[in-house]
Amino acid sequence: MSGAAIRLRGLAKRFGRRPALAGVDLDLDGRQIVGVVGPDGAGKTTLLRALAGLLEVEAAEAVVLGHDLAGDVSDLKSRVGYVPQAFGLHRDLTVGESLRFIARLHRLAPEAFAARAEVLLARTGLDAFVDRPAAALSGGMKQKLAVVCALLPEPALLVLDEPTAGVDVLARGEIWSMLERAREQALVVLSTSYVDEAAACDRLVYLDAGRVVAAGTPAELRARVPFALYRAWGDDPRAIARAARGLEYAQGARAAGRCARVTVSTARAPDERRVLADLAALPAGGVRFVERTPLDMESTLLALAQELGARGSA
Amino acid sequence: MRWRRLRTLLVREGRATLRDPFTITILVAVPLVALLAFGFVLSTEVKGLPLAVLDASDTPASRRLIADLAAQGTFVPRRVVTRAALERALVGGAVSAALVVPPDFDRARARGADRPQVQLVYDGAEAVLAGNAEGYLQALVEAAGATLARPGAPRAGDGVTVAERALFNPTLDGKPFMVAGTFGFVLSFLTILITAVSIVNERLGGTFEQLQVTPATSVEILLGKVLPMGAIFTLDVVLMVVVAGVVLGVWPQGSVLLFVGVSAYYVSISLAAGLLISATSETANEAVQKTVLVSVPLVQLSGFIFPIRSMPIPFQWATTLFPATHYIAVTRGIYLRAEGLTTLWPELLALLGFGVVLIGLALRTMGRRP
Amino acid sequence: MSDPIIRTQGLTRRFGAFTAVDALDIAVAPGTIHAFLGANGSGKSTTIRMLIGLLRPTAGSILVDGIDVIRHPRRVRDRIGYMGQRVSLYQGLSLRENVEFYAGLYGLAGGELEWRWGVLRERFALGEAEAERPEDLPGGLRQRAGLALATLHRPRLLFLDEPTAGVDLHSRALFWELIQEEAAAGVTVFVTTHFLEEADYCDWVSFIDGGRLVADAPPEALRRRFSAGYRIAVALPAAARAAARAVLAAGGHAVEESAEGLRVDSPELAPRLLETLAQLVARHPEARVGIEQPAMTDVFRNVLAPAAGGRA
Repeated sequence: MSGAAIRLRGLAKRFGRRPALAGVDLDLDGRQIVGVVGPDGAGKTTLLRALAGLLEVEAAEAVVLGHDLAGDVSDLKSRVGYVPQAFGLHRDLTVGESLRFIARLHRLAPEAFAARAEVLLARTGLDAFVDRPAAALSGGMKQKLAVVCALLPEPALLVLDEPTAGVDVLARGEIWSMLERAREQALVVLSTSYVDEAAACDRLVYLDAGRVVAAGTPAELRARVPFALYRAWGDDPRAIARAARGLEYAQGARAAGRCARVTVSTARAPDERRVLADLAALPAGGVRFVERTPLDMESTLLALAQELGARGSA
Repeated sequence: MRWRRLRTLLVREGRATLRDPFTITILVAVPLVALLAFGFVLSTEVKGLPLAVLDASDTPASRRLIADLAAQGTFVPRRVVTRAALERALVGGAVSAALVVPPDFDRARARGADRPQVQLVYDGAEAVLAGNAEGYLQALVEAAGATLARPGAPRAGDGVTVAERALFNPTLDGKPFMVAGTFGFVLSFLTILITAVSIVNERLGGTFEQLQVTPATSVEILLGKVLPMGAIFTLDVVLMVVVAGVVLGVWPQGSVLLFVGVSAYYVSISLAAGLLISATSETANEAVQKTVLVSVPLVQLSGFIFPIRSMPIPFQWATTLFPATHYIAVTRGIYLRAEGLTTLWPELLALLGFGVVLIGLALRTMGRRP
Repeated sequence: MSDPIIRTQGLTRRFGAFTAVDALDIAVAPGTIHAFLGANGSGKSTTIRMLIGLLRPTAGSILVDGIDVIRHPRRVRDRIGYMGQRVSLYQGLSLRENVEFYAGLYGLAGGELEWRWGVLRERFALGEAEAERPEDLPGGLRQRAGLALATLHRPRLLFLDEPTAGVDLHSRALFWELIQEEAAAGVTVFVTTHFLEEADYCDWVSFIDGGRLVADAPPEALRRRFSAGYRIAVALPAAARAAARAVLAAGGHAVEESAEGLRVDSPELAPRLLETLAQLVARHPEARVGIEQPAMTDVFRNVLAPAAGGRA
């Protein structure tokens, strides 16, 4: 796949009077996993549905896989695999029947279908449940089935809306492996509220109030955040966090596990040595060791959100 | 039960309802539309009905008969010349009934031997209309015939049997009948529907659960939801009484106070029914479907449109199973016959019984945990 | 554990042939944050609803603050606060009117209500939202408002069912700060969530899978048992390594060599280890120490892993 697979300029969508997307600019190409993150109501689902060709949108430019979103999208739909937020398959069809149904919709050749289905079913462990109705599967299995159905016709673009939301931890990992495998053949665009998944994406798009606020690789996003992260380990991390909030350059402090994570504004903070010393000297909580750690995805996303709040656009 | 908690619940429910334009519109518009629709449009009234007349006799006597009929205003005679034309007019719907005066009408009358006969022809397919028209027409003809037999001094028994006269509604005006029935229809169907849907939606929204976790008792929660609605529907009753009077000219013959009181009680029965339906429904759609399912037989078996007396006996018994039947009977009694407690007590007793059962069941359902 | 404020024994709930909760034995210590974790459909919501008396168990017993919830569900109501999955703000009313409504149900009024609401409004950052309708508020604010309402009458126990679902990260973090403050004030918080990382904000974790309790311990204990432990990397120039190694070894820790310097693996982070590290940095300021804490998601993955494979 060469060239920009997705190119959006000023993509907008209203539902009645409510603007769901207020001008999205985006360039995505290559085979990668792109994560769309942002608060609820930011427009993630709307954006994903638009990319799958399911919505009528306005845009200065909106091209997905070479198809103009404003024009006839029926050909586009045959090249996109879409997994919606709620379980979108027929509950009374068995696993096998669901796959055959999809195959017929896309008019897949029987041999191609059989081979591909067998591989996908084996990989997900669904082959053991071929004759079970979809409604009787566990949450994780249902989601895997939904992903398999989307992958069956070998789409060039895979769009998934919170594919692992509320799914048990093992299935989540397995679904993610499926996506990493799918990345070899397609562009994968998904939305997620899990921080660890966001960190594992090749590229992130931060959406808020219908607009792209930040986009880039996790490393790029980390670099543009004007914060530094320190950790203070001690006996009572909650007390440490409370005390740390009092520091005038501290953006926020929170206890997580055995440490208090303190986010510090690089603009307002003195040098690293001083911060470390201040933290070690905190009067409460029994601080025993302090360190500066590289910003992780959670702090990055939090910082982006706070930045928006400060700018008043959240 | 604490009054303060109940008051808190009532205030909230009242505020939320009054601020919901959609619900307010439904609660005011639907009763009024129903009233006007049933009152004006659906009245099975006998007035100004076209009547085909085939006067084969064509004598002064027959012409006088027809003129008398026309003068009443109930029928509008339209002359036809042939039998075929008469049947065409009848079947085609241009006329509701037809009168055939035989060629020997005058001779028979003059002879005085037999009672002169005329033939009334109806479209039997229009059963309701035919029934009314038949009775009326028969009476008119017989009265006209009596006048003819002894002009100036008709005697009962002369000419024909005594004409029937309708008690309590001499003009057989259908409007009061329908208006009275409409109260029953609205306070059953609409009340149950709004109550059921409103409670189901609140349950689905999660606010119900939140209420159950507070110190509020199930009785308080139930009353808090249902009393404001009951108040609104009772106001609806008053509104409908006024509109029926002012626009349709139909006022209750009997005690308005009694009527509003009984109506308020009936509203509480419907509220309980709505509650029971909501308790057995998972979604608002289901609640609507169940309400409709209940309301269809209610319309057919409550005496609202179809007279109970003309139903087969088993069905007549079945009608007593609907509270609506008794309420409509009470309403018609008060509106049309100025009846009071002395004559209406059987129906009122039945309503009391229904109320106790349904409200009791509703309270039990509210308190039950799944 | 000192007298638990919540205790269940053999708590079971069946829906027809389906067992949603299977013989749950949990105990919650007063003044702690007790997390109840699991995937959707694992039985979390069913459990919490039984604990507060909304749902009757099929079997087992529940004691909340000494009250038999199954027999007398109403008696707990004035001492618990609940926030369900759907935040229960009435749509036709403003936030302020919602406050007055719930206050009325708990018998809170007048000056006392004003004062209490003032405190909460400040603490939960709800100032500008008072006159707004809930449907006009952003998700994060609505969640905070829901929590404020749940604590309005100063309950001893808070039951929160997936309070951070669908809420943006920033609001989630703020939310947990608020919960931690409540616990610090002595309130017992029982919270369900499917975000496993949030276990780190809590004092105790009960992890439920398919209706059954598969782990029940403080987060650190779970880390110790179900992960490879903490990995401490010390990057420093070769010259200093021997001396640094001596410091670490003196603290009784096993030290390994690595490309950049030294490495210590430890199942837990004892105060002594932390102090040793502090000494190390004091003596070798050019050393860069990094502590890698096992992620809770990985910990729970390991909890489930032995049972995994072909789960339906």
